[in-house]
Amino acid sequence: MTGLVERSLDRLDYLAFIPDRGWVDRGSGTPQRFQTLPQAEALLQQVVRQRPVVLHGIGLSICSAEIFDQEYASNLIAWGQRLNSPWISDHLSFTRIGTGHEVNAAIPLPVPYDQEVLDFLIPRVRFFTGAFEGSFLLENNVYYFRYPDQEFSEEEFLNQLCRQSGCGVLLDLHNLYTNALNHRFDAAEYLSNLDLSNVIEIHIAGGVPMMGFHTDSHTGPVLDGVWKLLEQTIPLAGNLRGVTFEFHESSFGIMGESGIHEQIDRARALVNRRGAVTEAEPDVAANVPAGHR
Amino acid sequence: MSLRTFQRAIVDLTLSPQIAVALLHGDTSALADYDLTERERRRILDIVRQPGISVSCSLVRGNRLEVIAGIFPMTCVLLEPVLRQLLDELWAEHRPSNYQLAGEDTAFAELVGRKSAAGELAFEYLDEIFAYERACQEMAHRVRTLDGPDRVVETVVEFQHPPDELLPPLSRLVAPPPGLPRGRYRARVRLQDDRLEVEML
Repeated sequence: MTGLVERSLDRLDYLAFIPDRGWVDRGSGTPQRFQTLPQAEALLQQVVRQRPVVLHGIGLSICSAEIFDQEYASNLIAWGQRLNSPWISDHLSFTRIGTGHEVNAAIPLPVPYDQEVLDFLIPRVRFFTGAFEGSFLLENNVYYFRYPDQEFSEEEFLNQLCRQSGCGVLLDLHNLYTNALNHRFDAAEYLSNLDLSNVIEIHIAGGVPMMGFHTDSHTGPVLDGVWKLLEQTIPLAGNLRGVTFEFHESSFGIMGESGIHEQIDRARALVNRRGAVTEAEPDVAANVPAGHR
Repeated sequence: MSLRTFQRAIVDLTLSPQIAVALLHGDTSALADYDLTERERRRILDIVRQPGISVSCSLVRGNRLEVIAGIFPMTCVLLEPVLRQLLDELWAEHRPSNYQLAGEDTAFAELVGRKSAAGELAFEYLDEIFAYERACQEMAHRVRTLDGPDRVVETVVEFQHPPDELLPPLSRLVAPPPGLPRGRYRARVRLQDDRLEVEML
């Protein structure tokens, strides 16, 4: 992976890194809980001299009713400060339950968009916005089942959360595409309901069919439907700072390095087109999958 | 308190498809352990009727298997006829305790080691390939945390069949031919960063 990053840096304006793959976490309350992995640290130090690094966490589980892991949150913030990251992010979902002996769901699970969830999320987000100098973003989740009788739509929930807590949105267009396809709703209508001024970063990715669903596997090239959503969204997201191509390790076998570069170049072409209509030009990056979690 | 219990029920559903199946067939006793509001109960009974819950369960199993198959790919090939049954047994007892899914490979290795020692897994080449992959697992854990420019670890592994006939097909996830000649073979296994080399001694 280090070689790919070295060969790709001239194409990238920043690098998105999953910090959970750069440390070993021995669990809440353990002494010296987080151990930085030397290989990941060496890569980050090499990159940060040339490009900004943004951090995209997978372990916060900010929507766990039972857990707000301040040690984890503080470590993520400390990494963000140390690397001078312009923003850090995680997912609007939960994976972790239990105190003492924790259980992990092994996939990010959705929460019902209710006032009760909004109420406990706001102070958690403020923990980040109060301590971290850059922006803190939450990503719209992919979900394969839907809770009935929710008090807010996802767009309304994100709008309220941003307004009341000060976080921004990491708009994952492949998640939106996947959810719209699987649950038969109109992605364009979703985008018209979402306050796009809160969108700081966009994710694009590929996915595969499974059991009659489209899944967010991050394998292969970005789908045409996702490119269309990106094209529609870029001109409307006035505070957008970056577009990130996410890919799984298995994408090498499917697309090769040149295929990955093609995705980045195509995203850049769309971003550059926006330069004609706005002054601030967002950047383009790749999300580096540094080994499996 | 109720939302916590609700989330526990959702995690249990995705980790244990049997609960979703029981609920789908009208056995609501599976919800007796959860202190749910009426709305939360309705939501759970609704989602077990959605095909997406099966997709979620499958993705959970896929993510857990990816960790195991990443460390023990050759062992999984040799265990293929009983792998599904073995994983069901493993995951009925062991649940992920860490968002990095640390410990999934170790729990698998403990189960295979226990069953193999008890003679319950009589597959040709299994013992030596499992021992080889355990040595690789141990080296991978060590090399991850080594500092400095030359991150190299090595060990010697013994085989009872010729490694140069066992390892090439297994590295392509193909079972080796049956009945290879027995003998005593030693190989030096060297791991540098992500590069693995096997040298016959």
